[in-house]
Amino acid sequence: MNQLEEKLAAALRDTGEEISPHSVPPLRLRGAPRRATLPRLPHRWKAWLTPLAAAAAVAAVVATSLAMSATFHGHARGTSPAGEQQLNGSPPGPASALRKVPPYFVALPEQALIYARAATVRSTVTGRVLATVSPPRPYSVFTWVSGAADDRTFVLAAQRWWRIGSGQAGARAQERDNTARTVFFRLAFHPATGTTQLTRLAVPEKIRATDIGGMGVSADGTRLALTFRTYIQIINLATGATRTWTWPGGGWIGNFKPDGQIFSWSADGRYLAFQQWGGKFDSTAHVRLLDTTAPGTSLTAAKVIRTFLNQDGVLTFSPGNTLLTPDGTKIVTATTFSPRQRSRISHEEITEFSVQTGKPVLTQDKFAPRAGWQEVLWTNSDGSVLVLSDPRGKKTQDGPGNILGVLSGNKFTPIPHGADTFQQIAW
Amino acid sequence: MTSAGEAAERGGARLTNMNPHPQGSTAVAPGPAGLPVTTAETAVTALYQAHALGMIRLAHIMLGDRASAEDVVQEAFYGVYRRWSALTDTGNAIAYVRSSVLNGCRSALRRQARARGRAAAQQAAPPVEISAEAAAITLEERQEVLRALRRLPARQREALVLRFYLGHSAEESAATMGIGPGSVRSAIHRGLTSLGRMLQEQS
Repeated sequence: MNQLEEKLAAALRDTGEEISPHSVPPLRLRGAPRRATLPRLPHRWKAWLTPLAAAAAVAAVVATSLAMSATFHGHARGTSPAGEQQLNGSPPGPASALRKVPPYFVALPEQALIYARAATVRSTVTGRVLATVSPPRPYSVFTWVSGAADDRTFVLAAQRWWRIGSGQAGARAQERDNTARTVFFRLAFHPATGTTQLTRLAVPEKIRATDIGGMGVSADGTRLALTFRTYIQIINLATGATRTWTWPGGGWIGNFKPDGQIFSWSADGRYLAFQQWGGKFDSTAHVRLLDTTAPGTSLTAAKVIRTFLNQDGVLTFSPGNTLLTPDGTKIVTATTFSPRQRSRISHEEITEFSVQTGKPVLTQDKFAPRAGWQEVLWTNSDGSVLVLSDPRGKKTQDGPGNILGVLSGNKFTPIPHGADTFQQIAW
Repeated sequence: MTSAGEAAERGGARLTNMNPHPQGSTAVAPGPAGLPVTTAETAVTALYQAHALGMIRLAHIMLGDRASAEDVVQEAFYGVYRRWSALTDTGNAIAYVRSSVLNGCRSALRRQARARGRAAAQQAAPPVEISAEAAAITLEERQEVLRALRRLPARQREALVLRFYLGHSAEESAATMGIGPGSVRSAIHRGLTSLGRMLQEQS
């Protein structure tokens, strides 16, 4: 180091050491630490809640919620009065509801370390595994899956995999994992024979595993949308031609891998819905709709359908799926609500938002707060039939287990035997 | 890494297998944002215990204000808690936190610039706010270096702090800053050149 560099390093070191190890405040995770919304207090008064106080605050909110008999003033159109009080989700539905959903789905069951070594094709009606397919060598894991609308064509992303140890020991493997090439396959399932066919897709660019933040195949299976955080590419799977739209602002498009499906297409292949994260610390999610037939290359042209602020007192959602109904009229997602006012009750539910207005048009399957997590995995053309992951499974030491099911007419029908994943799964 | 840090790494490695979008009936209970309370809280708390001091020091260097530094770090760890389900390993988690801290510092500096008002913001060299606590124990020379550092463009400032405070390689800094290693080297070179010039002007 030269003199300037030494001077800089010393200044930085001394400045850093002004913070003593004993002065680090406790971490505050529970009870909505959205400090941006809190009034600024003098430093010595800063309200870093102790874990005990935080737990007490959470307990108080829960107790208050349970004690209150006030009616939820929200939009509980789809929920029965009894269900509204108990908040145990929609009542059970008939087995026939399972036939309203495409008969086959593909799941990427997460094995030992996050990724799936094989994809399973399963029956929606029976839940049985109909076929199992592994990626061809040298690829060893599947990382993403998306389904076309014909009930038997799927697109899978695959890559090589290395065991990642902890600490420095895992650094090299992590680096290899990050930079490993991702390739894409079309999986065709033939119900008559119970066989599958895996075909490598001609995706032109060399894509690193960590570059991808989401993937979605169009309803007709001819185009694949990929997000690379700051831009979206749509690839014509027949010709390899690509079209790119870029996001010029802060934040990013999509989510971390693998975190559900951030893309969904309209049935005619014209519109692509996606999530764009931005705002303070990228904690605000926007669901946008891109007209893929319109000219231009900027994603700012994509209409904002709904913005989900990470705040109490507004309807928001947990990072997960936001699905455009194939008829292009609604966005379906699992939402949460944590009130600022005591007269309102926390809840989690499935909400459908109008693409036209961005406002909720239907809510159903309401659960008490922290009863578990929900996820919308598939929707029919108009959102009247959904496949969900719901917290109705056996209780475990960590809370209720999740199961797969079909929500139709505000009734929930479990898919027998469910699946061994609720994240990378596609119909 | 301290033993606490090693514990966090080990904990994180274990937790990567306990995906909050769980398998079968091994589901875990969600937290306020739909994330599993037990696993996410335990892991992020362990991460915080291991890395909070370093992160607050980093933010303090960038901002020159301890309270804001603590806020930024708190937000960053809450961010990783919210997105715990999406992280595949502890290395990713702490890298995410580090990037969030830098992003948060950038936002905080922008807010400070706005708060100083239009006239002040238009000055070529906006005044640097050194906390009273810091000023009491800081040498004039150190203040000059910090003043000059904070006059640099954000990218150069961050590249210099990551290199000369955290000792990061260009590749490591590139991953944190979301730019290429070549850009990091360029930012360091330009930053040092500007810094040297500013310090000469001040002396």
